[in-house]
This record gives sequence, structure tokens and C-alpha cells, in this order.
Amino acid sequence: MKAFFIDFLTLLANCILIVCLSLMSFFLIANLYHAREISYGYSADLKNDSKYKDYKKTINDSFNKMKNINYDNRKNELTAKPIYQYYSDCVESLNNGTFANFENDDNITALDIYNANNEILNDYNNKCIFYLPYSIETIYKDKKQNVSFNNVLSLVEERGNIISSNAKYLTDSELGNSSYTFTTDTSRVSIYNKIKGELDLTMNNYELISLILSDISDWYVLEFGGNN
Amino acid sequence: MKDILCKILGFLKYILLIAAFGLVFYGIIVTYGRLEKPLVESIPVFIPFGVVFLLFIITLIMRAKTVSKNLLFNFVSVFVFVVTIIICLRAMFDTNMILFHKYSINYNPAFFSDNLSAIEAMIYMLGVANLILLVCDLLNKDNKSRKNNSKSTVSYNDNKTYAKQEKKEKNNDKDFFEKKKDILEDNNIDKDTEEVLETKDKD
Repeated sequence: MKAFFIDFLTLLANCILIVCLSLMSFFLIANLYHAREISYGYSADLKNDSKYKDYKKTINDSFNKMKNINYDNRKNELTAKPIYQYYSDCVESLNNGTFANFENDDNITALDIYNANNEILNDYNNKCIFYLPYSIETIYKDKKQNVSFNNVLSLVEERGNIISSNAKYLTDSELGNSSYTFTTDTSRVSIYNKIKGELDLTMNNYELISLILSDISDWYVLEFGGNN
Repeated sequence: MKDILCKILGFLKYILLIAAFGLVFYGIIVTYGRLEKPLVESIPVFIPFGVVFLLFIITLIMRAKTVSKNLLFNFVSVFVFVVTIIICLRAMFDTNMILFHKYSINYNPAFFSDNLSAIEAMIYMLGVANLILLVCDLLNKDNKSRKNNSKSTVSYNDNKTYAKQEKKEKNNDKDFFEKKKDILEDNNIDKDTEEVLETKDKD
């Protein structure tokens, strides 16, 4: 009876060890696979991408329009000059941001897309999307230009809200790459497609930013003159 | 070969236990520091490590061969600690995970806490297996000592029976010889009388 009891206990201990071994093997394999999966990037040639080219062109064209105004004029010193300063800060931060460097990357990773959208929420909301129109509104609070800007402001606000909600969705979605899942071929395809789809959405977002800047520069040139 | 493997893995498991504990402790400090929670609340996380460490020490003191010579146990112990270390190192260095960047602390506490419960469960399982094997070892030792005792009692009894048998045989032999002697003596008497009768007839 005692020998049977010893055998039974040994068998039980070995069973526990085998369960432990199999679970830990699963953890190890899944972790290694997950680490490999999330290191993959989506190979995108953005230099030749029409959407990306349009974005760059819109930003450069609208900024160049504003450069031809005479800022030495005393009339423009307190109105056009500060707006130009805000605008140039916004364009500079966009040109130095993650999205501007996408054209130099052969592989776009989930981290790149997260950073690009996170910059919208943290930097461009403050420097461009909401700050720029509201600072213009503040400058022209009691002046007649404010009336002409009101039409632009409503459009800019609408676009700004879309950009912010898109960027919030994309950053939250990208956080999912840290979650632990049982990776299969299906999820591997979905990781690849996710980056591809989210890169497209990010480009749409930045295109909307460029359209906001274009609207503002159009209004600006109309108000203060310049190379229209 | 098996003994050498057991010895190597048995030695490694102590080192890896300490390394795994250190990395989990670091993870807890970072995670609780970010949440500004007191470290006292993290004590339950370290209980399985303490239990396994205690059981390892008991195994060492008892010199339990059922545990120390068990290749499966040693291998699984090493494996569990290696996986724990890998998970902790991923939380520290895998920059491809977005959550690594989100908290700006160069650590991924979300990934670490996701895996922590599984690590704890595995270490508890290791502890249970170690405990069961220790009980087996105790029972085995008890059995062996009983067998040894029973072996010694059997030989004593055997000696006794042998002695008895010898005595019996000796007694039997004695009886046999005595009977033989009597018979021979009787025969001699008969022979003598026969000889006397024969000589009388001749005369």
C-alpha cells in the first residue's frame, strides 16, 4: 500500500512538472514569436506615394504664399507678423516630426505610426490644429478680419476634431501590439495589414492638417496680400 | 551522464532563482513607483519565490535524492526561471512594444504585470511538485529503514530456527546412533549365542 502511495505521489509530482513545462514552453514560444512579429515593418515607398507628395506640396506651397508679405509695415507688425510666426513654428515642427521622416524609412513600424499620431495629440494640437486658429481669433477679436476668419474657423474646427479623434483611435489601437496573444499565421497577416491600414489613416490625418494650414494661408493672403 | 546533468541543472536553478527574483523585484519597484503604491502591498508577489527558496533549502538540508536526482524537476525549475528572466528582460528592453514608450519610464509595466500572474502560478506549481517529491523521499527513507530492520529480524529468526533445527538434527542423530548401538549390541549378543550353539552342535 505504501509503495503504491509513493508511486502515486511521484506520478502526481511528475504530472505537475509536465503541465508546468508545457505551459512555460507555450509562454516562451509565444513570447519569442510575439517579439519577432512586432519587430516587422511595412515596407512603404512614401517618396513616390501621391498622398504623401500632396501633403508635402500643400504645406510648402501654403507657407511660401505667406513669405511674400511685407512685415516691416507697421500695420502688419501686430497682426500679420505674429500669425506668420505661429504658422512658421507649426510648419517647422511638422517638417521635423516623425511623419516627415517617413520618406527616409524603408520599413514603417507600429511604433512609427504611434509616434506620428501621438505627435498630433501632444504637439500639433498645441502648435497647429487648435492653437493657430484660436490665436488668430484672439488677435482679431474686435476687428473686421475676425468676420472673414469665422468661416475658416468653423471649417478648421471641424477638421481639427476629426484629426484628434482619428489620432486618438490610432494611438489606442497601436497600444494593442503590446498585448499578449497566441500568434498564428492569421494574426501575423493582421499585424501586417494593421500597419498598412493605419499608415493610410495617418496619412489622411496629416493631409487634413495640411488642408487646415492651406485654409489659413489662403485667408491670410487674402487679408494681407502676397503671392496668391 | 544523468548525474552530471542533474548536478549542473541543480546548481543553475539556485542562481537562476536569485536572478529571476532580482528582476521581478526590479519590475515591482518600477511598477509600484510609477503608481506611487507602497511596496508592502507587493509582498504576495514574492511569496511563491520565498516558498520555493525555502523548499530548495529544505531539500539541500535533507539531501533528498528523490528531488536532487530528479532530472525532470531540475530541468523544469531551470526552465521556469529562464522564462521568467526572458519575460522580465522583454519588459526592460523590448522597445518595439508601444507601451514601453507610453509611460516614459523605459520599462513596460503593463506587459510585466500581464505575465506576472502566470509566472507566479508556475512557481507555485514548482513548489507543490517539490513538496510532493520531498514527501516521497521521506516515505522512501522510512520504507528503506523498515526494510533494513525487517532484514535484520529475519536473520535473527533464521539463526534461531537454524539453531533449533541443528539441535533437533543433533538430537535425532544422537537417537539414531543410540538405537544403532543398541541394535548392534543386540546383534552381537545374538551372534555370540549363535556361535556358542554352533560349537555345541559340532561337538
